[in-house]
Amino acid sequence: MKRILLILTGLVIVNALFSNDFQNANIEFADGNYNSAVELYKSDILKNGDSFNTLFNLGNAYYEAEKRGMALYYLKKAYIINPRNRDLNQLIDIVENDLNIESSGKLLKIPVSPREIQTLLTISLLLLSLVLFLVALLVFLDKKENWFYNIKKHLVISAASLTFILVLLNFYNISNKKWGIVQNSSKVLISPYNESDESFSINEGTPVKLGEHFQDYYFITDAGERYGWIHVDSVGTYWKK
Amino acid sequence: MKGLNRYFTITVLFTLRILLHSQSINIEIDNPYISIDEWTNLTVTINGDIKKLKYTEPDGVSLTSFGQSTSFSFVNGKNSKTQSINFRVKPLKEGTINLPVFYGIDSNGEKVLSEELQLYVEKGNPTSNNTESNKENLKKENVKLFINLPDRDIYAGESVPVEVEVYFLNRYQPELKRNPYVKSGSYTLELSENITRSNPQAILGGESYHMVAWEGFLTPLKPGNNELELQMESYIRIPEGGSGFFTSYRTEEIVTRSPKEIISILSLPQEGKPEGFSGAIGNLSMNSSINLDKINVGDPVTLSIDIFGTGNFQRINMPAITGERGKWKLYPESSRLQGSAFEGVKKFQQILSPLSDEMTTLPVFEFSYFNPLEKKYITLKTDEIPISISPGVSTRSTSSSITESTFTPERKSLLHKNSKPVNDFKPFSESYLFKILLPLIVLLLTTSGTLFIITIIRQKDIKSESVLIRKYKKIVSTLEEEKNYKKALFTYKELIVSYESLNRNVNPLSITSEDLKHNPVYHDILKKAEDISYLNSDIEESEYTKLTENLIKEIS
Repeated sequence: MKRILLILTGLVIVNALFSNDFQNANIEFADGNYNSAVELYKSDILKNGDSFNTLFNLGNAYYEAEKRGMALYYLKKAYIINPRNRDLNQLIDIVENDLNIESSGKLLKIPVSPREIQTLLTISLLLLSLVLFLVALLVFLDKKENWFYNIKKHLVISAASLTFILVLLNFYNISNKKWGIVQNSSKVLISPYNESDESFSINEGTPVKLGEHFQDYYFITDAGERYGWIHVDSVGTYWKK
Repeated sequence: MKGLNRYFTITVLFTLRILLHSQSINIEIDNPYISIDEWTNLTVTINGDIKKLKYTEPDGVSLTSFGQSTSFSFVNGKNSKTQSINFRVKPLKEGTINLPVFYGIDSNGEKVLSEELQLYVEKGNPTSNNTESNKENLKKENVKLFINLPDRDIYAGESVPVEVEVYFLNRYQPELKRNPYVKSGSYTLELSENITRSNPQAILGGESYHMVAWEGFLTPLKPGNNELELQMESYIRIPEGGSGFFTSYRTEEIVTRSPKEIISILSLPQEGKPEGFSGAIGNLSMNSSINLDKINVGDPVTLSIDIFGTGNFQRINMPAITGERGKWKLYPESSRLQGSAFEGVKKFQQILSPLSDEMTTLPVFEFSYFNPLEKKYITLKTDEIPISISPGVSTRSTSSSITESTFTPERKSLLHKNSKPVNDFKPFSESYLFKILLPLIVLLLTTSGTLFIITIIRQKDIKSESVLIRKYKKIVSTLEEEKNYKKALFTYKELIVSYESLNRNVNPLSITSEDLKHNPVYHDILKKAEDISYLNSDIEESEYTKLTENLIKEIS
């Protein structure tokens, strides 16, 4: 009986190990089967959610599969999670150079992720409100002869300045939420219909500002102020709506 | 005589040909399907010499003639006269309406009739009125906004010249806050600086208005029946009182919207669409030139192409090369726009390098656009510019390959361990940190605010106390100078009683020395004052100084 249980447990562990999409994707990647690796990494993201390592490997697999636009999209998603990773930054530079992206279209690198900025902003707001509360309490109790009350001005200015800088960074990130990336070289249409005329062609990896969403099309504007409609499948957005 | 006979025969035959030439009345309507609040144009074309043109009594429509033209032609021995008369047709009822039949008498004295056309009139759209009637409907507004569109078909992606008019009621002083912009509808609107008309005054609904106008371009983004509504923000200064220089004004912010219009936007026709069509729509022309006409194989020559006119210049791309492309090496082109995005010149420069000396002309580049006035695609081509190419080896040919070098730094390709999934792409407001810390921040800020308010109120009380003390001290010092210590002591008593009554919130008359035993200074002063009052005695300077010494210290 014990032996049967042991075998069953072993089977479950082996099954769990080999059904791990991330590891299977890595095996496919190592074997040079980049398209299979891409599918498995995507499956892992679908099951477990976005993680830095999966996005990095997925971007890398797309790069090896010579799909530079898709590669840049997933690498930039990984960048949103951890902008300080040196390997990731190096790979983004390589892909951007391969795609001949102009310097104005390249990623502005801020070494703090949007989520870290939001967390820091909340903490700095808490700090500022705490300092204000303590100052108000000391004034109320008329206890002005202590070290905290003496440095109150410096504390309030420091906390308010920190909050202000973080608010600015947060606004910068919010403005970036309107931007997406062209994943495949596509036609930009005059109207949001299949049979519409082509306005211009857009290269993969080009950053575009997303506007109205109509049926299966996004209204986009590129850095050169050209605009038109592009199919949703050709554009990657970074943020969940 | 023989010659005269021939002349006579020719004249008779010629006259007969004229007489026999077809004489007819044709009528043509621009749009037979309209709604009750729209109108359409009717063109009556009279071929030949038809006189006494009349039409049957219109039933359910009104006809207004607004222009006519006459033309004569002599083609293949035929002399013909064509007269066109234009009518504006406005339906007066819904349903199918028989348009009047036009008739006249031809040169043979016979009656000629036009065919009978029908007009199909649908129910009116309450938001789709013409500009004139809207101007009447909005009589009571202080500011009115209108957009004038050209009376022709409009295509998706086309930049249509428009005129935007704003009318400010003359009796107020207007000021613009924001120029007109598209409030609703899939359009983009680019306006130039506002222009001043020679006569900016207008009378609308019996009121005098000052008009401000803009010229610009409206670009519909998608085909179909699209609603268009403009909005503009302005201020008006309304006189409230006074007169002349002393008139006072009230500033009122006004948001003005144009009447909603449903515009039918057409798709570009698929028929006849050139292969390289990039969405350019307008009325355009093209010029081309080169910087060198004698070069060696491999040498660069710059072809300059100017595309100019009116249109959506953002969609004008570099003309495409035709013919034997393989014989030329093309470098990335450059372009710049002179003028606005809708009117001006787009200058392209294309550097080419011949790969052999076989060619005698530069390749032809072509550019296609759609002309909305002619309703057709037009392809413009550069001239076949002659060029002399020598087989000599270019010194520049080697330098061009340097740019194609590739340098790929080493990179890490794979991360082997999976990392923890993150919530970075979800809104921060959904995180636990935010949900916990936000109420705490709000609580702290609210408490701080409350404490600050209480402190401020309290400091206000202290301020009023100090004012009271200052007032009494002034009185006392005057009395002390006069050596009137008895009255000075009573003043101090009054101060103490006032202060205590404020603190205890009781009537000052009810406070006696017995109530102030907890404070010996107050008690002694009050006791002494009561004794003096009871015995009607006086107080010595030394005793007064001793009694009030501590009080002065306290209130200082």
